[in-house]
Amino acid sequence: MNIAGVVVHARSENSSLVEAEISAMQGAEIHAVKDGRIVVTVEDDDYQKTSDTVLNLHQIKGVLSASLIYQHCEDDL
Amino acid sequence: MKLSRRAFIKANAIAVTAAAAGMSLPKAEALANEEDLDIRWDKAPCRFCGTGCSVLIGTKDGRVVATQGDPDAPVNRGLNCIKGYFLSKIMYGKDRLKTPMLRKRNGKYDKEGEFTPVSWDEAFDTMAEKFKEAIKKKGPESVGMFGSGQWTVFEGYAASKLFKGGFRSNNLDPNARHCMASAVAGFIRTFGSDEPMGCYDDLEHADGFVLWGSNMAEMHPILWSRLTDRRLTASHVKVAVLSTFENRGYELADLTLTFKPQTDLYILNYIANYIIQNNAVNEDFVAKHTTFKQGNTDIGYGLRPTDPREQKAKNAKSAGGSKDITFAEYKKFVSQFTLEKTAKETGVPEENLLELAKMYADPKRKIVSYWTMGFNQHTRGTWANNLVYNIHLLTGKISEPGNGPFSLTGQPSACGTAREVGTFAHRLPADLVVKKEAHRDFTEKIWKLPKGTIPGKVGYHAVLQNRMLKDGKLNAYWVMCNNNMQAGPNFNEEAYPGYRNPDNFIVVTDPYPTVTAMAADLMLPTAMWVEKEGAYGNAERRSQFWRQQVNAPGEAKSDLWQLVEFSKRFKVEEVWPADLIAQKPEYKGKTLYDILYANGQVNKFPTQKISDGAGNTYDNNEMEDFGFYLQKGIYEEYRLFGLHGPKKGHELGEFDDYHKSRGLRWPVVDGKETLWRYREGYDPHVAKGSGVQFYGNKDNRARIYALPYEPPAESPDKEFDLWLCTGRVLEHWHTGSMTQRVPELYRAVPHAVLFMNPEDAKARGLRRGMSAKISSRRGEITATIETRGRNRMPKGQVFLPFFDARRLANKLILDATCPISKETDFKKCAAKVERA
Ligand code: SF4
Repeated sequence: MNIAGVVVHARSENSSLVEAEISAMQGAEIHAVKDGRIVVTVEDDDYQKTSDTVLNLHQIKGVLSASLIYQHCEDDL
Repeated sequence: MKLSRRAFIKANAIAVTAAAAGMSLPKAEALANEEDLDIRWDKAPCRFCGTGCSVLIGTKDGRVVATQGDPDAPVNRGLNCIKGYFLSKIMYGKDRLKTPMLRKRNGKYDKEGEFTPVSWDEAFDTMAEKFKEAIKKKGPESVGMFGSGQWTVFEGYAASKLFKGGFRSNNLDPNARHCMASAVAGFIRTFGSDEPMGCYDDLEHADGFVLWGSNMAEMHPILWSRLTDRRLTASHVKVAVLSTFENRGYELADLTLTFKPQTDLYILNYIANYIIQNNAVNEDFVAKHTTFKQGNTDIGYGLRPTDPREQKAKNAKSAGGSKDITFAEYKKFVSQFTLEKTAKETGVPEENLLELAKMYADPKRKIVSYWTMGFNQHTRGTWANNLVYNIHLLTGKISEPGNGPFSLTGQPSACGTAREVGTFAHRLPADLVVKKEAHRDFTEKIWKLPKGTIPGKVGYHAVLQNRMLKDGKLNAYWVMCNNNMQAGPNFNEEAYPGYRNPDNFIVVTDPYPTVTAMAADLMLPTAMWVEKEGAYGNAERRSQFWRQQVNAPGEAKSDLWQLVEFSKRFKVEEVWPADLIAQKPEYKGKTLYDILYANGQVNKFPTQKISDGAGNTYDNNEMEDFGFYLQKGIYEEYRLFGLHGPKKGHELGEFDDYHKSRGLRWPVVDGKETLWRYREGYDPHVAKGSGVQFYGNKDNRARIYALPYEPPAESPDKEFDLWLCTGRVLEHWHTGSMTQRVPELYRAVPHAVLFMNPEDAKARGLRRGMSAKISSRRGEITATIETRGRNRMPKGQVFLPFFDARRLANKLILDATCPISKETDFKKCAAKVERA
């Protein structure tokens, strides 16, 4: 099991598009948005591993930066 | 139960992430505080880039299971980049080296033999024999070492002592030569003292940022996210990005300048000219704090002396020379760099050049300039560094919050270890150099060595080491904590034949069987990162310490252990001449270990229990093996250089203070760190009432250099018709020896692709996704064409990352260097691309 917390930066004018793309990603969830900062958690799901989702966050158009805050990995959870 | 633990961990993730983003989510926080996860948390700096983020390491049952951006760290305030995310996995690659491996045939060492597991004793016996043989036959100059900006401070210091003070060879150079040498030479030439005056706090104070040849978005992601935050929350802030191709940084930029390779020298001089022509010079600052110099020109390219380009260069032998000039002469010199001429030579539109010049010239706008390899890996890299200082000095925008030039480092301890400890072929600790007798005398005094132990001749630098291996002059060679066969230039012609030269014995210490290790005769397995106690120094002069968190696998032993243990194999009589020993008869019959490490200083601190404030305890394998607190002894001896050395302003704090803090920025005086050097009120070394003192130079003034444009060593021609640039990507760190072993990172970016302009591709019958052959005068490789994605190439230029061990990009690179700094130019040579 993997869980990660990520802060994504986007310009305010692009934020809603970026948010929509994140919400559509497997295992990703948005918890708060403020001043171009989006609080996201990512979890494993049946098809996609956390880490791959996190890496994909960087590739969304309009994402200026994505910073990892927290990651937890335990095999038997 | 399992489900609740999972829900709980997630709540924790949300709370911590929101807090790092400056938000508070009380519900998640309340839940997160409920359960104890039974994980031991402790801090350590990140293993990767020079940003120096602090990471909280979560250990459970002797294994690192979780990491978290350290919320108490001033550098990263709880953030980590994608590489930081995978930190816990770099130690667990399947092919970790666990035992020494020697090339053997029929039970004996044989250079053409197969790698065979051996004991540490057999490994060190064989190695010691080869080192002794070389010293006996050809003297100390026949042994050498290639070290690292990823070494801990302790390791760099132990290596410097072993080679310069023990073997009496200055042939010790770090891989930082490939990334930071031009920055070092620039600092020394302009300010007389290495390393930046400012710090990361500038990020929240500046009104403008200029990136010169730095893809900060991919290479220093956390600094980039701080910069992004500043830009998004203060609308007057402007970001300018300069590069030879469009990179990720262009997305945030307000102003972009894509220039032809090497022509940054025009832009730098044009801005200086603009500042002068438009009366934007800070006359008071310039009069009080600077002097002017004209540097030597026509200085060659650091190639072999037989190369016609070297023979033609008038000042190849006095590349660093200069003469004093007046401000009026300097003004006249830069007046040739007009807007029209600069636009023509660089390919940048006039209005973009003008806008950038205005940013610097505006007295109300505080500006930070950042650069990395675009400046440093440049055949005129030292000049580029000098020229950006000119701009900040002419305007007085330096050494104060939000104003200053700032050289970013690629490696986690390029500053702390390679530079400050002085593991370069010409350096000694704390800004001292081997060339100066007074500096050698002082070093010998601290090290308790007889006068004349340290040779005064500068040793072989990185590129020269490979040439000397090939020429059979360097015969016993130890490579530690780097992957130079993959990272260094032109290995087909220099490094590889050098390593495989039958006269030579090559040892490589690494956690993994890298390209370099596979080319060696002996591989030694090492403990990495938090498998040992360590200290790194980041780009803003911040030294950060960590405790050992877990044990290394198998028989792997830290670089520090290897250096110190190896010294036991040498009786001083085997390496020093009799007249030297006669000066210190008490050293007769002693080993280098007795003289260098069991010297009453390094072994001064007895074994102790290592624990943190919370009462957790930690191992320290070196302390157990040697019977004293080795790291502490080394550090406290090293600290004497800053406290009593001839160069002002290098004080470090006490060992124990660093374990308690999130690092301190030197000079540390009376327990207090320094944020802005050379400025009264911030730097305790600046005399009252003087305002600013660049005290690295005796007259307390910085130098403004008149330096022109000169062409690169190799430019595209009819046959090799494209510019080739090599470099890094976000997901992988340098040669990928760690990150390529993390399955997720490997999956995300498995191979290096060739970034190319779509029209250039089309003209060669190529399309995106097709395989192409890319070649230079030094070799060829195949790679897939990429015409979109994170880098957009202008016509005439291609970019190839060097992390991929199956596509050794840097073998295509010419080993031309800045003749002053000896740093290779990896950013431009001539190549061609064809259908594979
Ligand atoms: S920015 Fe650099 S130091 Fe910070 S987490 Fe990323 S790789 Fe590590």
